[in-house]
Amino acid sequence: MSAIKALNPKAEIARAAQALQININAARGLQDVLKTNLGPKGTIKMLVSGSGDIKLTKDGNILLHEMQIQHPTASLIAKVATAQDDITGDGTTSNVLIIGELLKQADLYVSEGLHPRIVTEGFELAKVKALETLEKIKVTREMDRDALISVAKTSLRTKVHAELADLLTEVVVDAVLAIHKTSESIDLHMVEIMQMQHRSDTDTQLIKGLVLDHGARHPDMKKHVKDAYILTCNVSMEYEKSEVNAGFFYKSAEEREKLVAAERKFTDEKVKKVIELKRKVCGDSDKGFVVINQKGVDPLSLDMLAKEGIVALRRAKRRNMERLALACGGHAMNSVEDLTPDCLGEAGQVYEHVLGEDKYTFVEECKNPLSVTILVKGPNKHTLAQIKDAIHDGLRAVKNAIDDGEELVATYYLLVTLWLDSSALYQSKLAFQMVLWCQVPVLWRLPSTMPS
Amino acid sequence: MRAHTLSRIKQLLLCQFEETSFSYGQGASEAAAGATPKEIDSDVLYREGRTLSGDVTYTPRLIAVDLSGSLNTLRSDGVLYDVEVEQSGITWGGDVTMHKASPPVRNQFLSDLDMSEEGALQNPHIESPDKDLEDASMSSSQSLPSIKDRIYHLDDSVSVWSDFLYGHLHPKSLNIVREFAHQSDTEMFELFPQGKDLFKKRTVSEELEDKLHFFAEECDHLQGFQVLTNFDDGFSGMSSGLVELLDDEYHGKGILTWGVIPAVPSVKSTLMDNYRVINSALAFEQLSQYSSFFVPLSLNSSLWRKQGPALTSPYLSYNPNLNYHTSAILASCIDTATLPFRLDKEALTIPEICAMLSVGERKIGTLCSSFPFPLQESMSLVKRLPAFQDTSFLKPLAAEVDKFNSMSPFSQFVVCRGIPNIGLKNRVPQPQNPFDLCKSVDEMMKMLVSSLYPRTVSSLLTVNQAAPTGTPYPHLFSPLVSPTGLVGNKPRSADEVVKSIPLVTSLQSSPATKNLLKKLTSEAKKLDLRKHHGYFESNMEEDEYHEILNNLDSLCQKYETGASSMDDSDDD
Repeated sequence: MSAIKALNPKAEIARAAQALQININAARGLQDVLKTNLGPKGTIKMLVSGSGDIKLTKDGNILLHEMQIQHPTASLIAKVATAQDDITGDGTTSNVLIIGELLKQADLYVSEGLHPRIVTEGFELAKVKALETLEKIKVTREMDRDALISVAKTSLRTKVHAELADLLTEVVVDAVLAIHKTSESIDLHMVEIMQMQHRSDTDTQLIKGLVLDHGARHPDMKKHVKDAYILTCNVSMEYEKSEVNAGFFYKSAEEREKLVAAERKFTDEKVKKVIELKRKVCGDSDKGFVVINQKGVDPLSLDMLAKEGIVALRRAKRRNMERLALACGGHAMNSVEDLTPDCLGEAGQVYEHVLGEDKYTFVEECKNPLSVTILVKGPNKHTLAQIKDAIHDGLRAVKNAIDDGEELVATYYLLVTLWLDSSALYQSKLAFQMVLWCQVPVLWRLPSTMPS
Repeated sequence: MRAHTLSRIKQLLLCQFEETSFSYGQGASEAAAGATPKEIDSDVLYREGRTLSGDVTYTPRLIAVDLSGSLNTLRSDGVLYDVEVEQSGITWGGDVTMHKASPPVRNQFLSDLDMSEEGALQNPHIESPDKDLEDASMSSSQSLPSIKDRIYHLDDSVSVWSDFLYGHLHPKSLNIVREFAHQSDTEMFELFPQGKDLFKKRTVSEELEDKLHFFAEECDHLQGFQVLTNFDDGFSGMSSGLVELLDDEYHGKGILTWGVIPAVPSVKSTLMDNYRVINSALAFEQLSQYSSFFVPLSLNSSLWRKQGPALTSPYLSYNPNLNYHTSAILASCIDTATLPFRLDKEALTIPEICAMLSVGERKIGTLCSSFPFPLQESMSLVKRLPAFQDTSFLKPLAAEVDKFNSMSPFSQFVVCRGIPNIGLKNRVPQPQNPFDLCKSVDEMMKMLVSSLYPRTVSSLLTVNQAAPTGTPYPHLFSPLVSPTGLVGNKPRSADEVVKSIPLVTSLQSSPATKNLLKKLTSEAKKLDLRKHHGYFESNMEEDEYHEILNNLDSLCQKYETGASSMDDSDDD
């Protein structure tokens, strides 16, 4: 003990039963905080920080993160919730509640003199039993849209109000189905979530294409392009000073001018290559041409492009480059040397939407988009954040359902089965919360009967 | 060509300590915006924006990362872009419970600032910079004393950087790391790999990318980035990740990285000291590899395990334990040293300056400054300057380089600001020294620098505007310093504060860095990484560590000069 004191003079020391008590209290404390949140009828919590930041949530994991947990056991439990969230995206509150309840029951037995070791063995046995039951009752079925909708609805109804939940359910399922390629696992990152502080939460929609949060930086570029070719590239169209100190290479002002002009020409050449391609593919037709560049495009280059009727967006985000290729087809170019019409993608509509100082560019009506965007709208920051969190969970739930191809049949049914499995008592299907409360002593009864 | 280009710089800040520095820098730039004649182009660091309700805003192009719970009174999305919403936005069938934390106490400075802003809101010009700001402050100063004129003693009431933040930030500026809490005992953000992992985390990196993109996309001529970061805790890893990303994504732009460290560590224990050494070693290697130029700064003469005394000066009386004080000094010096690329006319760009200083792949530099530049109130400049016989008036703001300061640097960029031209008009009939012939401060300083550093490639810039040290700057000058920053003969009266000071800084690449690197690698080599399991938990391998130490060794070789290698053989 003195060693611990030497390491951390502020350390509090508790032994045996006392230590156990502290740990159990931590778990029960968390349970008390979260128990009102459970289920579609649970309370929603509005957290207002001292400086006025608002957070609106019902999600156990998010709540646990908002709380500054100092207790080591409590933070361990919070990590359980995080792990649960990472894998399934849902059920975080239930997790914390089950842990709390298990420890509460354990406390009873320990106080009666049962050795904690036996209790932990019991937990292990219960786990095995639970997994067996799961295997037994799971239903393997084709995951069609209807099935996925019910899966997503279960998850979302507990996160946001019913009207919005139903809307989001459709959005989320369609989003995942759009990016789902049979044979490959689903990469949820191909669903971009974009927020717009605008109108109301029920205006949230699925865009079968991409929404970029920037626009063209030239007044003459069109705000709305139809039937557009999309060139995605990663080529700097900025005049850049050569990295070597240019001072060594010129003797007079004229020479310097020449050098600058030569360097500028290098950039211009690249822009001209793009223009050439545009002329080649568009010809005299009224098709549009949009360049989306990951690197910068300076005003002079923008000017050249604008004169040709090309819309150019600069500094696209790296993660959007991959998405663009998936949404519109074509592939991203790293140099202008080998530009061919094959590398171009296509979109039915490209248009700009301005909101205050934020510009949004919609790339829509793509032929076969393998990357889509969920455009979250809401009147204020905390609503946006709440919807975004809910969508994350919903997407995760739908993905898991498709990946496993196995249901589930609603968690609550599972709990009832578990309960029926181990107990002769019968209780009709109660409200979800009730079932959960029953389930815990059930889970508990399993182990306690076995070792003794 | 030059004259038309409006260059843009983005600043990125990581962590508490530096943000402290930043708050000052911002105050300084704001002061610059109102100064006449306009010498400094504040548009380089600031952007003009428009809120949803159409108001014009002027905010720094800044992304700051901090741990949760470190904002105190500041709201993470700021107040500038608030929109009035009639409905509460809660549409939930079940109950809604509200949990409200009690508002933190605002110190006198912040509450006065709020008051003055409420008054200013009625003045339509206040939001716009430059001239309007000047008018506004003039008109408001007629009714009540402007906040700039009041004197505050904030030493006890400042705990985090937002406690003395003067301006407003854009809602996209602040990035709060939820995974780690400020001043927490259980989740400490103290290891390099923790920061690196955090940066790789999808949620964190996407949020940063979004914010970075917002500020970078609107720049027509992005010249580069300034990164301010701690190099002794978890932020070292985070900034390494960030600088690597910047180098990849914005190749060819300048990345000027300032590494800072508190003069006195907040927690002192063997384990923490070891962490500091390992983190610093990793950060030095990574930051110098990916930045265009990396400048570690510290007010302490010796870092890591054996802490040396903090920087002293006869004109300063500050408390090295207070970050509020130490960061103020660093901020003024950084603000001055970065003037060359913030000038209104003939500004250089970050890549140009970095290229100039990092000749021969020597990408770790030193910042020296004389804070303040010692000038007697009564003595003319011509008489004063010849007294500078050696370079000791320029003190390095870095550890382990002090005794090597006499070595002449490879190259340097000297910035002199606010040096008054006392006595310049009185022509001396018979010139006694070369300074008498000079016609301007600029010429004099050039002569001084070239006589002090005969073997160094030096560039020099003189700016008339002095370094502002008004409210909310801490009172850290000795009583002998007059309100204009000159050294007087009698102490200034108690109700006067130093409003501005003349300041000389020299950003240099110097052979003294070798000593710093040597000390660091030798300390790092003494430590066994296996005994610090935290590093392995975050997927770091021992081989990786040794490789990084070897890289530091070879970096060290680059600072070898003929003369110093002789000394080395003696040492060994």
